[in-house]
Parts: sequence; structure tokens; C-alpha cells
Amino acid sequence: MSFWTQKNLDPKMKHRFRVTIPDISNDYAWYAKTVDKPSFKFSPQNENELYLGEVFPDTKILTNPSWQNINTTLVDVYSADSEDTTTIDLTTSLVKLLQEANYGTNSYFERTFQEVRIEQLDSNGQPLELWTLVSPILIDVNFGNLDYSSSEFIEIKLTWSYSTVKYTVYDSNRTSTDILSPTIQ
Amino acid sequence: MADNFWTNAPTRDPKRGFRFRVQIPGISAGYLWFAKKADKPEISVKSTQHKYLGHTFNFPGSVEWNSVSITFVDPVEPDLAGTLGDLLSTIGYELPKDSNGFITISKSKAVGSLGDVIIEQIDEDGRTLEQWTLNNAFINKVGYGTLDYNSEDLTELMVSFTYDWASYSSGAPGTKTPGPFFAGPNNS
Repeated sequence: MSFWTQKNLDPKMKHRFRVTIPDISNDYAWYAKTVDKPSFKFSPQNENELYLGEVFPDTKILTNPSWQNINTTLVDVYSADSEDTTTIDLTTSLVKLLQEANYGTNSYFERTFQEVRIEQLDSNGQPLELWTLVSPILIDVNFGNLDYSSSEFIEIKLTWSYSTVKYTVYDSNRTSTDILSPTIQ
Repeated sequence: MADNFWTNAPTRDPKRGFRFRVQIPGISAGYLWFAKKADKPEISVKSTQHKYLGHTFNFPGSVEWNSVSITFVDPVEPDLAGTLGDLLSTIGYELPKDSNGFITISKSKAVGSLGDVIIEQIDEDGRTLEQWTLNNAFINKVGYGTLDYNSEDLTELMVSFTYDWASYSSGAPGTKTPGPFFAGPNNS
């Protein structure tokens, strides 16, 4: 039986993760600082209902889960080297998303986002689990705040809403198994 | 019994604290002969605790390299106090004058101005036994020393460096690597 005394016990740790946001870059977002893992909640369909004459509420009926919004915090990076063309200016990349969605024009404001991938890693840098946000949309973008009294990095906070998730788990042989893979109609 | 022991006639000395040399190109070219004391790099591995009933279990987390301090004597020539002041300007620190001073310190300026900080431990023949290179090092503290009417000591300056990580290499036995200071005044 497993227990805390095992020396090969390696719980999942908060700092072992990587996230990919293809609308910004197809590489791992090494400038990510925090990201929520997906969460869902159920709301009973018949909350507080009861039949006439009954004293106790009716047996709860489960509905489909609703997936909660996810927050990601990114450090706003840029390169001081004018010849470096690989570093991303995050603020510009995000503002360009607005431009590409026809913002400020007479055209219909429209934007679809690619799937965001959140991986929990083990101590060898290998994925243990992969969460893929299906049909995500950005619902909140906060470009941070400026403060003369602070030496902290500027942080950009993104909030994502999504229809559902795909969840894949990896075993010790790196074999993946899709635990959740819903089909969007 | 082990081949190596204190009773055996030694072929080489153990490492000694006074046998070292330091290079910081941003302060002065070559070995800094006016260095007096230098910390070797230090690693901390953070740990996370988990408690179960009355027990505590520890798990290793991230690695941190702790700051390194080097103490210098100010030889006047070169003017170390002035050199360190110039370095502060190079890394982006400007004394406040008016509301138009927008230049600030950045990592690229701070790291670039210093160059590779190298601390070497050497043997009795001046050969490198171990070489530590502080990667992406920048100055995080400068102490210009203490003045004291009661003291005849040389004025000392203390400089502390923060760095991302340290690289280590050991010197190959038999390799003689004399520097301009250790080679003596008549060496060409």
C-alpha cells in the first residue's frame, strides 16, 4: 500500500507544468506564471423543489456539468536585443488578436481561438496529464498595472471560457489514454 | 585500509583557503590581485512539507543559488571605488536630477557590464583545481567599507553578486596555467 514513507513517492507539484496558447505562439509559453487547471460544477436541476405535501426536497437530479472559467497569468516579456526576432511582445500579440477579429471596423466582430493545452509534468519533464480546452474564448484580458514603488514584472492576466475539455493521462511508459474526449456537434 | 590517508606521504596538498584567484572583466582585466576574500557558490534546494497526523514529510522543490560576496582591498590604482561607481552607471543607474531621467537598470545591462565572474581555486603550483563561473551575474550590493580612527587596516570594499546558476569545471592534473600575477615580475 502506498504511503508518505515511500522514497519514490513523487506527488504532482504546482511548479511542474507547461501551457501552450497557439494563438500567441506554438511553442510552450515559457513566460507563463500561473494557470488554473479546469474545474467544473454541477447544479441540481430541481434545486429546492418538492412535491405538494412533501416535507423534504425532492431527490436531486444531476445535470450536465458547467466548466468554470480559467485564469492564466503571463509575464509580459520583450527582448532588449533589436536583432532578436524570436522573443514575443505579449501585449502586442494580444492587441493584434483584436485587430484580427475586425475590431474597430464595420465588419462583424468575430474570432475563434485554437485549443489551449495545459500539461502537468513529472520531475523528468514528462507529461502526467494533459488538459485541452475545447472551443476556448478569451473573455477577459488585463494588461497589468504600473507602480513606481514596485520592481515586479508586469503581469498580463487572461481569463478563458470554454465549452468542455479533453483530458488525457499518461502512464509510466508514456502511453497516453484519453479519459475524456467529448465530441462537439 | 584505504590507499589515501593522512599518514601517507602526500603527493598533492589538500585545497587551501588562500589559494584562489578571481576574474571580473567589468571591474578590471586579468586576475583581481586586490581581492581579499571570496565566497564559493552555494546551493539551496527548497523543500515542501506535508503533514500527516503527527508526522512531517519533506519533498524537494526548486533550486536556488545563493549570493556570493567578494571582499576587495582598495589599492587606489586602480581606483576600485570609482570603478564600482562607473559600473552602476553602466548598468542603468543614474542619480536623480530632474523629471526627465527615464533610464533604469536592466538585467542585460547589469550582466553585460560585468562579464563572466570566475572564481578559481588553485594548487601549490598555480594550476586550476576548480573553476566556478557565475552565469548571468550582476551586482546586488556594494559596501564601501568602514572608517575607524582606531584601525590601521586597509580599507575593504565588499561586493555581493546574484547569479542564475554557477558552472563548475575541475582543472586537469598536470596543467600549468600561470597568470600574469602568479608568474612573477620578471616573467615575459
